[in-house]
Amino acid sequence: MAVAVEQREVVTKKPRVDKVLHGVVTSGALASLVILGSIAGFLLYRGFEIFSDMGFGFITGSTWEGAGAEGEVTKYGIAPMLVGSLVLSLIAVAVALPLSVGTALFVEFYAPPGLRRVLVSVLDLAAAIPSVIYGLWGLFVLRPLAIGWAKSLNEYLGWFPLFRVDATFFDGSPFIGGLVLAVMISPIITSVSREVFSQTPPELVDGARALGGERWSAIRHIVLPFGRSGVIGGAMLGLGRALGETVAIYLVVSIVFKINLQMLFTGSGNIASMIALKFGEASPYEVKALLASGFVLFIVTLIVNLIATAIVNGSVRKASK
Amino acid sequence: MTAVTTQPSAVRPLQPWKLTTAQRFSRFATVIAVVAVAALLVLVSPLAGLAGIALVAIPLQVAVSVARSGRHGSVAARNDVATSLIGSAFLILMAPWLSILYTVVRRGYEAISWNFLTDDMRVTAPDAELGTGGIAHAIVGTGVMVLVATAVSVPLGILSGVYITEIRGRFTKLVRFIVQAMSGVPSIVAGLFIYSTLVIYNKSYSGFAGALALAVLMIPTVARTAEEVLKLVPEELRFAGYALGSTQASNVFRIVLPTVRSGLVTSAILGVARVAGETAPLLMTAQIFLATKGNPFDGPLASLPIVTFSFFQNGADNAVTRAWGTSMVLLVLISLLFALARAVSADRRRSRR
Amino acid sequence: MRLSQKSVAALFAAVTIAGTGGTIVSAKDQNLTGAGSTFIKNLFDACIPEYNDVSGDTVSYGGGGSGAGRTAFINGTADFAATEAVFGSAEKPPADFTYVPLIAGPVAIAYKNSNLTGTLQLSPVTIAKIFAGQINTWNHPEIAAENPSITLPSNNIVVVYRADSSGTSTVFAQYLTATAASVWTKAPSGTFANAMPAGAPPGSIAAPGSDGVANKVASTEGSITYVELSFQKENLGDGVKAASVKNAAGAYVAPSPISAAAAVAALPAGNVDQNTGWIRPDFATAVPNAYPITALAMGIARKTYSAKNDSVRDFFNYILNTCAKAQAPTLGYAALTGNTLKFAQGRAAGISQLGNPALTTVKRNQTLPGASLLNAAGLSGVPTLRVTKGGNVCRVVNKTNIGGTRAGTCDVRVTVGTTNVTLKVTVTK
Repeated sequence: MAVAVEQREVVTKKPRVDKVLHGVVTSGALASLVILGSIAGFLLYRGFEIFSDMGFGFITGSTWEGAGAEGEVTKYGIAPMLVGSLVLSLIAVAVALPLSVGTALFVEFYAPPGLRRVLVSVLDLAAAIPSVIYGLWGLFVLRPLAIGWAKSLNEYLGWFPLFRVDATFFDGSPFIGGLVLAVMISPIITSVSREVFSQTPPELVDGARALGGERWSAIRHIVLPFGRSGVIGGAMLGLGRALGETVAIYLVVSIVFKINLQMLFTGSGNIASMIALKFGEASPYEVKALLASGFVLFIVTLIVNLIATAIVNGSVRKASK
Repeated sequence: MTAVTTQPSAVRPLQPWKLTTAQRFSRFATVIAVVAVAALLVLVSPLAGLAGIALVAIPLQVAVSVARSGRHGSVAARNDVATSLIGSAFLILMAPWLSILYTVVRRGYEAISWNFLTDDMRVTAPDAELGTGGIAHAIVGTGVMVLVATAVSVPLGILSGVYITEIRGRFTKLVRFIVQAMSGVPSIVAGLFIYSTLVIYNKSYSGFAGALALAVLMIPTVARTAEEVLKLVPEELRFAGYALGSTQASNVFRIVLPTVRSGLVTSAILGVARVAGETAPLLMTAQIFLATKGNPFDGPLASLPIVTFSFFQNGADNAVTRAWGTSMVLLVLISLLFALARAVSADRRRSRR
Repeated sequence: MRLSQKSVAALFAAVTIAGTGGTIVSAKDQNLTGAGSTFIKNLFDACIPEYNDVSGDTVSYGGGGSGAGRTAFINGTADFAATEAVFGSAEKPPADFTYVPLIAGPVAIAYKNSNLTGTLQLSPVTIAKIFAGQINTWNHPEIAAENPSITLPSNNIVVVYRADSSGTSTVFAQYLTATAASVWTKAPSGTFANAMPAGAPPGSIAAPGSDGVANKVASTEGSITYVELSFQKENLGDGVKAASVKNAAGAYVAPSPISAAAAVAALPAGNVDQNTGWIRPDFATAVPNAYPITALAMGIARKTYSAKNDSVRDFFNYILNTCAKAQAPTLGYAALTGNTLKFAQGRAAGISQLGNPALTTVKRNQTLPGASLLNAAGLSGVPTLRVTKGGNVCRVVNKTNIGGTRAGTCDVRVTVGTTNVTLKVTVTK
């Protein structure tokens, strides 16, 4: 009898050890919050002077001049790099998405089980290949090939606005950078897509089989609609990684501070590679400008990431229903 | 053809889409023929290389698919076309990955020797004869930084996971949001943050600064994986613990965490694999040091990616070969980590059963 | 024990200043971090392992570009730096810094054009027009006029330049400003894109690092860039050649260690800043066999005494007196010689002298030369010495030296003109 009463007290009033547990775990979890908050806060704090000095021109301007010395014209505007980040990442996703979805379908629905296990490991590994290796490979192996492809695209399909260039210079173009990024982010998109596809309720696929449907019919009418938002989420995660990529772009793309919307034409760059390029020799004032650019990049990546997470969560929720 | 497809599906109802040996052979032969024809066409056309062959072969394969299956109706044709396209997508994506592996090994294997793994570059020039000097300083440096980063980020990551799955307090949503957001922090921004605070303040690059930058990037990976594995613990186990009168603390430490111990190990290994090859943040925080050194607080520290970069910048043939050799060591290390993670998680699956 | 060894060694170092210098003397296990110029990196890559081997120190050089080196030196993250560009007006170096000329080297105009046989000859104005985008085909009349004996192909010129801020870019832009002012109308800058008169010409390619531009040229038909000679040599097998450049004497000179040495040997005295140690390159050299685009890489170090700075001095001395001579020819640099070398040795001798205890320590019954005290005080000129405290420990000898009378410490005021510094002098048994 007395034992039962004691037990009830244990449930209603937390024992000290549990309070300690709560304290430790909560503070551990909140430490992550503090770290992230301090990064954002620090970048904003250091960059604030730049935002107030440059105003909106920091986003829309396209010159980067001066070191902030007295009597010197100092202008910082990151428009070319912001646009470059978007162009490079969009090319990457546009190339990687169809290939990754196809590969994910192949791994999940076409490959024999033994091969599938191997391929899943290969995907994991490919996602962890350091970007410096992607960069060196892009520089030495892909770039010469891609210049040839760009030439052909321009020669035969130059009438198409996307493949037009003002002059026939194809090295270090957004196209080449985008291809390297595409190779880099495709393992992520493939992994996420495959994960979502594998969650397709087997009853539905079996149903399609039972009705005599071909494999493609099942994929087209069941798997793809089911996994669509997951695939989009995966693509957004890839986009996030592409936006923040530094070393590969640094090595492969001709980083030029000029807005370039012709994807086959030389010259582009993204914010991350610009930071890597300029941070070493930057004056204290310029470092603030780089931190401000870092803040802009951080916000852009954060937004992309949040959209991705929302979409992926949406699809998982749908899956669990 | 129709007769062939219906018959095996009657015999093996569980695999209605499985191809017969004859079908498989005919498909295989078709693909070979298509690629061969494409290669011939490429030879006589202005197109060139593997890309040219792919450019011809894929439409050709699609056309052959339509012609072959078209007589069984549009559904069959579409199925065949889809198979061709999906197979092509797979092959196209595998090509660059295989090319990367091939490139790294072909250009780097000459640098690999026992000496390369055990010696450092303190008294050896980057363009010296291969076989002298080595990258022990980079291996040790990466090891030390990864270890420190692990020591910082794994507890924080696991605590985040425990908070979300066990405590379920009012910050649950916030913590999950933060972890998601952090996984998107570009590595260069993490490096810039540590550089502008710790490095400038200490007036010195250090392995510790590098490790902290890596930890910032590692926490989200660990936290997300930890949350996933912790979710796998059946509620019944927790209830059973409470029913026996245990406190939540002993529930967490004696039941929940031990249950998923190997899963947590996997989460740490995946986090390590994620950051072991980071270049940009280490360039800003740890820089390079030519001797083998284990102390992360005593000035700059070498790492495999930075040493790769530095060899590459020298430009001399032997230095570039060393750069690829270093990349190869890095890839092998990451592969080993993944194999380890696989082995540990396979172990977990077995022990759960 | 260690400390006293150190001071004895440092004293020996102080003595060798007067002699040839260059021997490694202080004892060791210092870890030095350097950053900066990629121009000098290949020399450092070759010399650092040798120095580490003979000295017991571990020097690590991270490169990163001249600007990065200056910033790291200011921030204190680097113990020494190397640069081809002087500290800018926005940069605030520590007051006790000194430049030390370390090496000279030609900046090659490297190009690749498989249809172009023979060696291209270019005048400063033509070079400026090419890099400004005003001449954009290889068979342009102005190039043809300078190369009558060569058949020039008609393909486009692709300008390749440094994407990162670089001392090589600064030197090259300075050269163009000095020799082709009518074409090159923009002020020099480490960021080459900012120094191009009409911005980057269409189709030009930016690449990071010397290796980056060299690799780009090696893999791009019809391209041209400016790069250290050693990187051009490394890519010679891929068809990357170096143009001969017309100097003020009217001769076309190919870049080589010898032609660069000729330019350095004839440096006018006016180009040397005695105060900081900076030497401006002479782009208008009128020596017939001198290559005009010859850059000088300067080391940056601190004059204040510390064990690390002692090692920096040893390292710089090793470069100047031993390694540069042995390595420069094969790597495409020109080791400093003659008066320039003497000047550089003098600057190196000033590293780690301010407050160096070895310079203010004297044995009983021996004399401490006033020159040591001058170094320790960071002054130059003819000193007036006065013992202000501990008159029974030391005394002024011959007006210019300090003699120790018994063990202990005394204060000596060193006055040059109107400035004076009080040093604590230790007298040992």
